[in-house]
Amino acid sequence: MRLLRVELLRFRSRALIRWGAAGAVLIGLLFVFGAYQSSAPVPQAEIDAARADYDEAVADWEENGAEYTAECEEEEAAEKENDPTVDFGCEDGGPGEWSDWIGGTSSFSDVGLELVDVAGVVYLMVALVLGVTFSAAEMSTGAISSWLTFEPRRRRVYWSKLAAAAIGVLPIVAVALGVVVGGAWLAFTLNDAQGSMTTGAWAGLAWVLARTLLGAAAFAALGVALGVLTRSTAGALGLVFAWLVVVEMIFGTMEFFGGLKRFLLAVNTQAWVSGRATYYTETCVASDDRGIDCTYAEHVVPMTQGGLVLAVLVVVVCVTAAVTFRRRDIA
Amino acid sequence: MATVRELSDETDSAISTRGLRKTFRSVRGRSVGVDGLDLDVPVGGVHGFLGPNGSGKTTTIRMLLGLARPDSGTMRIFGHEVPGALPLVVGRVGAIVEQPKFFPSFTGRRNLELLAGAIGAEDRMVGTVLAEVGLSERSRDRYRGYSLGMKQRLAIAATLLKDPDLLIFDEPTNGLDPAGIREIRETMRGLGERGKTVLVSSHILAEVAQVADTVSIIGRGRLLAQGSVDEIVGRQSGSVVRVGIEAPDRAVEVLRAAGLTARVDAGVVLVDGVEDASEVTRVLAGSGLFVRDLTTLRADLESVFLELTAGERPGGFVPDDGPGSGADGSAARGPGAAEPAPLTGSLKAVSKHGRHQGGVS
Repeated sequence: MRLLRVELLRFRSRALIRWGAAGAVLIGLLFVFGAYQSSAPVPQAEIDAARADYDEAVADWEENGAEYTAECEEEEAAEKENDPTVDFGCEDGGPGEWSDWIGGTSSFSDVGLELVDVAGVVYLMVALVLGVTFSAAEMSTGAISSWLTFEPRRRRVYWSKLAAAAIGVLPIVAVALGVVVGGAWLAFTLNDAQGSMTTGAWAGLAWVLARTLLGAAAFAALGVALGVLTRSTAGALGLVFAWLVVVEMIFGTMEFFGGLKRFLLAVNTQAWVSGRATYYTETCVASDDRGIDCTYAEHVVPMTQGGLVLAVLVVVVCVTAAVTFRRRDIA
Repeated sequence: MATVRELSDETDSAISTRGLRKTFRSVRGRSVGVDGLDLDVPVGGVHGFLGPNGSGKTTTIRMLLGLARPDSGTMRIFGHEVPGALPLVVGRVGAIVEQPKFFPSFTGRRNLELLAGAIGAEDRMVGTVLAEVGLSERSRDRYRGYSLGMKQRLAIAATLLKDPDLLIFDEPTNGLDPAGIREIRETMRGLGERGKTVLVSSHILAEVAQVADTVSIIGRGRLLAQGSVDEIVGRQSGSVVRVGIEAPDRAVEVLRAAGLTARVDAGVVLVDGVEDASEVTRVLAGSGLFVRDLTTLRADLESVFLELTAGERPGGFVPDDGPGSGADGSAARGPGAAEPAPLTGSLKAVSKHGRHQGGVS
C-alpha cells in the first residue's frame, strides 16, 4: 500500500498527466459543442428558404406529377424485363411532407447514448497514453534504477505502478465523461431538445459510463505494461499506432482476413463500451453469366465477447511485461 | 528474534563476492563484464574500487544492488546473500550508480519525497537531508535545471534518507568542477570517519588515493589487488634510492659487487629494492665514494595501479559458445589469463602484468 500511495502521488504530480487530464476535459467540451450545434433550432431564414422550395415542389408536382409517375413506371417496366424484382418506388413520388424539408434537430434521448459511446472509446485511448507516459518516462530517464535501490522487490514495484495508473485515470475519465454527459444534457436543454429519456435509457447510459471507466483502468494498465516493455513513450505509442494502421485498418478491411474481424481491437472495444458492435463481411462467388455475385453479411459482436477479448489482451501484455521487468537488467 | 542490524554484526565484510561473473550479449558476440570477481569490502572506512574504464566496476555495483543479474557467483552485503536478501539490507545501503537519475520534471524536493515515501521515512527527513547537502534553497527547482554538482548533491541527499551503513558511490566526481570534487571527497571522508562504510568506484587515482583506507583494483572484470593502500604500494613495488655522486659508473660497480641492484640513469645512480638506505651509503663510503645527495623514492598508488592494469583492456569478446561458468560458480578463464595468486594476509596481490603502459585520466 505504501508503494501504491507513492506511485499515486507521482501520477498526479506529473505535468504530462495534468496536461492529459486537461486535454480529456477539452475533448469533452468539443463533444458538448457538437451536441449544442446538432440540437440548435433551425434559423428562420433557413426555414423560409426551405418553405419556398417546398411550395415550388408542390406546385410542380400538382402540374407534372402524373407525367413523372408515368415515365417512372415505363422505365421500371423496361428494367423488369432484365430483373423482375426491381422496384423504382414510383408510387412514392412527390414532394413529401414539409417536415422532411427543414432538416431535423436531434434530442438527447436520440443521440446522447451514441455521443457517450464515441467519447468513451476516445477516453480509453487517452487512458492508454497516460499509462504509457507514466511508466516509459521512468524507464527512459533511468529513474527506475534509483527507485529500485530503495525498493528492490521488482514484482511489487511493477504491480504498484500498474495499479496506480489504473486508479489514477479513473477520476480523470470520470470528470471528462461527466463533462460530456452533463454538458450535452445542458446543451440539449438549452435548445429544448431533451427528448424523452426513460428510466431504462438512463440505466443504459449509466452502464456505458461504468464500462468505460472499467475499460479506462484496463487501458491505463495496458499502457503501463507497454511502457515497461518498450522503455520509451515514442516506442510504445508507435507500436500502438502501427497496430492500428497495419492490423486494424489494413488487415481489418481485407476480406481475406474476414474470419479474424471479430477479434479486431476496435470492434471489441466498441462492443465493450457500446454494448454491441457490428462488422460486415463480403462473400463473392462467380455467377453463371461470368460475373461476380457478392453477398454482404452483418455480424454482431456482443459486449461479453468484447470484454473477454480486451481482458485477455490486457492480462497477456501485463504479465509479459511483468516477467520482462523482473528479469531485465536495469541500465 | 535478531534484527537485521544485529545479524550483520556477525560479519567483518560489508560487501563480499565470490566467483562473480557477468557477460553481455551483443551482435558481436558475448563480452565479459565481470570475470570471477572475489571482492571484500571491510566494514567501516572508505574503500576505493579502482579500475580502468570498462573494467567491470559499475557492472559489479549494479549486480550488488540487484539492477543486473549475475551469470554466476555469490554476493553478500553485511552477510546477507543478495539479490535474494536485498529487501532485508537495502535500507542500510545508499547508492549512486553512475550519473544521478531522477525525474527531470519534478523538483528536487518532490523526487526525495517520493523516495522517502517508498521506504516510509518521515517527511521531515527530506528537509533535513536537503539542508545537509546544502540544497534547501533550490529544493523547489525542477531537477532538470540543476547543475551536475547539484544533481550529485541531491543524489547524496537521497542516499542519506535511509541513514545507511553502506554507501556506494560510482564515479562520483565525473563532470564536477574542482570545488565539487573537493566537496564530494570531504563528504566521503566524513562518512567514513563516522563509521560508515563507503565504497567509491573510480578510474581516477587521485580521487581515491586521498580518501581511501583500503582499495581493490580490478581489470577486465578480475581482481588484481586488494588491501590497504600502504600494503598494496609496499608489496607491489619496493623502494628505489636515487644517489647523486661524482663517479656514478664506479658507484654502480661497487654497489653491484655488494649484491645490490644498481644502474645509472641520467647521471644519477638508481638502486632498486632497497630495504634500508643507510646500506647504500655504508657500501659506497667503504670504497671511498662519498654521496652528494640521496633520496628514497617510494612507489605511489598510481604507479602500482598502472603496473597492475597494464594490458587490461576492457571487455574482450568471447564467442557465444565460449567458456562459460563452472557448475560451482567459478568463472571460466580464457587461455593465457593469469591465475589468481594465493592471498597473503589482508593484502591480496592477485596478478601482475607487464610494464607500465597507457594511463588513467
